[in-house]
Amino acid sequence: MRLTRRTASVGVIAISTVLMTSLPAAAGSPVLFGDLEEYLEAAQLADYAGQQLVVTVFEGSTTAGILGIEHAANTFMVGDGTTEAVVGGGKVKSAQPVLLSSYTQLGASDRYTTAPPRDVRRLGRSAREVDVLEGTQLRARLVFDVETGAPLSTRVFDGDGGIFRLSSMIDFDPRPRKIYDSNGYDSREYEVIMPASVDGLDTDVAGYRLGDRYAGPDDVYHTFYSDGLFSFSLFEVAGSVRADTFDDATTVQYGGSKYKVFVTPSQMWVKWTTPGTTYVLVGDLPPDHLEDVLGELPRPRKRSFFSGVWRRFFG
Amino acid sequence: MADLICDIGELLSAYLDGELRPGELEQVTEHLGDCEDCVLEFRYLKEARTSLRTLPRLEAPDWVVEDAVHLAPELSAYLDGELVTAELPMVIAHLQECVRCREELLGLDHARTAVRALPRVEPPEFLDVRRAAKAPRPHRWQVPTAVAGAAAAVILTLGLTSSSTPVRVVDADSFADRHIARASVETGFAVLPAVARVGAP
Repeated sequence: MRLTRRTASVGVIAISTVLMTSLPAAAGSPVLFGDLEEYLEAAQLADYAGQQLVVTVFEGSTTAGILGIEHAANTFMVGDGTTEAVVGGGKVKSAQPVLLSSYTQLGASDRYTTAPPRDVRRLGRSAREVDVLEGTQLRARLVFDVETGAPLSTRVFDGDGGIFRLSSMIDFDPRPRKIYDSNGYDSREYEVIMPASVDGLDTDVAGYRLGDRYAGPDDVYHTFYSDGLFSFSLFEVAGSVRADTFDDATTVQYGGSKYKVFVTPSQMWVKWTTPGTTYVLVGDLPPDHLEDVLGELPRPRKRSFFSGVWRRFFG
Repeated sequence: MADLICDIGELLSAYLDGELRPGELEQVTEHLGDCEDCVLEFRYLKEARTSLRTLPRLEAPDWVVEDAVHLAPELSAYLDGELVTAELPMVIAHLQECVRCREELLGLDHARTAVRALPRVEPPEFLDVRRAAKAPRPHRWQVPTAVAGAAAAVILTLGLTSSSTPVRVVDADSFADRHIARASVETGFAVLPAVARVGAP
């Protein structure tokens, strides 16, 4: 075909049309995502409701629960039929409301990449399945609702490729029944947690970046770490600690040291002591990450007889 | 579908008991995403399991916990045969369960034996005029030995008592809320909801 100005113009228009239909579309339409951060941000902003099944497999045992979820305006309302909590924006409104006076958002890290997504069907809806890679290892498989961006299913894998945690919507509604006004709250109802200095702390613990440190009204120091996908908090308490949470804990050995570990469907709890300090770690990190993190934190130790005598004499 | 439901029904029970094999776990979760009948069955099983676990049970005394370092005073009295009648069976029952307190009891026993093997410290002369009048004056080398023995006894006692650190009772649930509050502002929270008290088995 002879190329003329007219045919060239038509060609440009045709090519432009093709390109424009593949660019991110307007809100409310299916969106093509790029990196993990974009998927996660869309999930944060999504409005949806439903029932979520959460299962965790650890050391050969399984723990599970079903949660009722309403998500809107970047706020979760979560209940299990007997208790409820409203979570979002640095606040938790539950039986004992907690409010962080400040925080530093860490955002994405370069630890994870995503493989090209696959179109799938989930709960009768169009969805997109995204593999999250840590190096070449499959760390998580996420399924997002195309219409809302809501997470329909999340699988987290351990370092050996076995499944560690699975959360899956078993009932889904793109229209939440309740919308909580996250700005309309009375701070006097909350226990306000104040920031503390992070001077002298490691800024990276096994790939988890230091976020913030807080001093609670009970003289408990709380330090938060995240790797962009998972996170944990380390609580330091002076002296020995008795907590009902660890009544059913098992003893697990990491790196030659023993820790008390308790697992709920969505959290790992770890407790150990050093002379004069009890540490409690709470987080959703997979077991191999947990082992790496514990290897870079103070190890469990008992006070020796003579150090106790020295302390008694000299403080 | 009816046959599939029956199979999944059996797996639901095993699933709640933590007895599923890896392949079965995904089979169950995939099926629960599509089958309302099985979701209802799962909820019923879970509620029944929760009800069984919430049946009343006897609460152990406050000090019968694994980190009961404050049991040390009772252990010392137990060694000396000075426990009152009501305390003795409780201490014995606890020792049968708690490795840590048994080890501590063994350490106390060794220390008590060591202390008893120390030279006896005689009271200074000015406290007993009669003894001072009758007893021969100690040789010079006996005085430092007696002082050293007393010092060793003091050190041993202080070392044993300093191993008991104060125990704080903390509300660990508040730790979870603080962690969740902070995690909620990170993007990962959207796909990994971090709720602790809600959803615990």
